[in-house]
Amino acid sequence: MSSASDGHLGDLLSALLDRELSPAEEVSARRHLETCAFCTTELSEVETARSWVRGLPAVDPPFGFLERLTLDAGRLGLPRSSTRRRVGVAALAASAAAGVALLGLAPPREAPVSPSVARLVEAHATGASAEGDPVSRLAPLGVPVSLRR
Amino acid sequence: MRRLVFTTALGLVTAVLAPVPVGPGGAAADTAEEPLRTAGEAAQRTSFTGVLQIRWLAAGSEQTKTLSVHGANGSVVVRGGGSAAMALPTQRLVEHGGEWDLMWPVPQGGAERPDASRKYQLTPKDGPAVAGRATRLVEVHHGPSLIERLYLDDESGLLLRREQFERGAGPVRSIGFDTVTIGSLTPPTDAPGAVVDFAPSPVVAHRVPDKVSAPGRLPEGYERLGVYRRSGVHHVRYSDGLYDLSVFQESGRLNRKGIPGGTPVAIGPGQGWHHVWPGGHLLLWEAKGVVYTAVSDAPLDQVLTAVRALPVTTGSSSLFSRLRRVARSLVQPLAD
Repeated sequence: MSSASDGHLGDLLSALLDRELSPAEEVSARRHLETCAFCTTELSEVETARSWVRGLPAVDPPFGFLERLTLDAGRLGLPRSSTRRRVGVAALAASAAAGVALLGLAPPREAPVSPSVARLVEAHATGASAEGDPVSRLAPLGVPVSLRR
Repeated sequence: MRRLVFTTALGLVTAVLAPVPVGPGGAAADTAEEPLRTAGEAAQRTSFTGVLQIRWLAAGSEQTKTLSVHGANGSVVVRGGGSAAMALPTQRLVEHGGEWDLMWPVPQGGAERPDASRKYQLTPKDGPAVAGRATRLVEVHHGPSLIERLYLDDESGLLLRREQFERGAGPVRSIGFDTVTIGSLTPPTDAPGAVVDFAPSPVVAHRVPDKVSAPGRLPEGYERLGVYRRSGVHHVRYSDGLYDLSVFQESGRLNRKGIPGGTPVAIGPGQGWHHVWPGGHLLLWEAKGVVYTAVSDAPLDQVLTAVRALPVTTGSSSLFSRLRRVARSLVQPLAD
């Protein structure tokens, strides 16, 4: 397994999420993650970014879109009198309608979010230290955030 | 001027060296927020180096960690666990893998913290020696409950030990010097030449998006300091004068994968989860398409009371809703 030069997993995190690592590489990567807060945070962020991309929504067809599509077909020179062409345009429109309807009528999905808790804790503690006692406010950041009950 | 009055009042009170309860409305009531402020100022002007011991209760057992801290010329660096955090006069930084992230500029541009004396009572006492140095002990009470013990170095004002109480007799969390050297020292480090700018953008109050729940006040005396945005996450900061409460909000549904453990707690319309981090409590929950993460060093009952009062907003202005609107606007001309 080739790891990043700085000792962290780097691009291997994406490969881990894509299940592209060999079993031995995966074991090694997961073992590293158990002790490396940096890579754990990175993994969470990569995973969140992937889920957001996958969760991109479908688009509702605006009212009149399909009608405009068939009219435009006529403007493009398709003879309205041609039954075969009309059938072709209708089939095209029907296909488009079906496709768009399937996408458009599907309920919007909220993207899954796995908060980057370590980063949020850092944002909180460093913000608090700006106006309070910097020693006791910053000190908890010296402990890798591993949430427990 | 106000700060000078506070400092003077604290000096007068502690000079008596007698256990003088100071309650709201008393002549020295305004000093309630002063020990940490004084300690913060002492950390900025005093040169010191030492070993910190941090202890906290998690999963029913005590966790400990040893850290090193070094302060001089207005800079403080805390190192431990393979990471580091730095307080510079104009920046707060955190190190990741050899790179420094700028987390906050100083000042942050938010509202002033409320006066903690409205909520807390301060009692100065003689303190025990901490790391071999004489201290003044300041106890902080919320009503009848002891919630903090602050041990301030008699000579410099530096906070040498901080204990936090919630339930039971012992502290749930403590941070204190095992060893400390105070005196002329070289600065801990130069400011990093290159930093990754991770600082948030402030969001002015009248432009806070509808989907963001950011009331000006929450129960338990928490007042909003500011609203910020960073990496798609809105960060609403509150303070009661002593503790800070951060409420992070992002559109989506909560996926707890990678966030193991947690105790179920009731928050809002659904279930939330309570976690402990070395500096306090963290709550996670989801409501109407928004994922909330609350982080605070305040006692858990205070945090729960405050966040349960957050109005639930709809996620209708989520990124996805905006994307849908953008996509619609792209297609709309074809229909016109």
